[in-house]
Amino acid sequence: MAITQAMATSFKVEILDGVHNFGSGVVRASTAADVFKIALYTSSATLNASTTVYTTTDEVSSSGTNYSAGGKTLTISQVPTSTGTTAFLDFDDITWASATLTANGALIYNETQGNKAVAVLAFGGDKTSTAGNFTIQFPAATSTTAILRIA
Amino acid sequence: MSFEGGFELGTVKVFTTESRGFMPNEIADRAVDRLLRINNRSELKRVLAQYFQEAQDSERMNLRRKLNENGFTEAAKLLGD
Repeated sequence: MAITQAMATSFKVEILDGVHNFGSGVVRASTAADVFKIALYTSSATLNASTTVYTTTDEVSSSGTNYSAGGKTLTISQVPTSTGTTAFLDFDDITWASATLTANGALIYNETQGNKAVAVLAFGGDKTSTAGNFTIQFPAATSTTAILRIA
Repeated sequence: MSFEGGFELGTVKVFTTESRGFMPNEIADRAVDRLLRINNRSELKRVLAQYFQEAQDSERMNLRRKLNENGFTEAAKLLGD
């Protein structure tokens, strides 16, 4: 027999599922998954771990770009699950078609919960589409690569 | 006593085109990683449909552009946004 200190893997998955509440909880209207969105930003934006909520400041323009303020809704392609002791989830790739825009990064946020920030994505430089596709490919849904993981 | 772990963030890739949609091989390149890791039929069907839709949308974009370039703007509108 042995006791091994650990955070339960099931708990990690349940965090992503919104099961546990240690603080002031939110009242949920349903048991459905929240709506998560992704917005694009120019290199002028300041986004980092301190970002708490979606902002329109320095978001990619909606004028002549085929981009709409607020970005697009993400599809959860892998609901929270685990492999080994790591919980993770995944989103489908997302595309802005016929787009003429330049973006330097993106913000994933929870529209259902008051547009609260989830993750800031830095593209590592300006990415430009001209009357074409602008696609963000999410990493493979594995315990070592998935976009959101709790190890 | 402590243990390692925590929240981790994966790395996305951005793909763009200029005056065209994606070519079939470009879509296939992106699809491979995801398809190889799918182990159930329903999810495979869903993801395949997603990429086929993307290929269709890209071709429509190409057609729209060609129609617009040649003055057939009304015909281009019939292909949607």
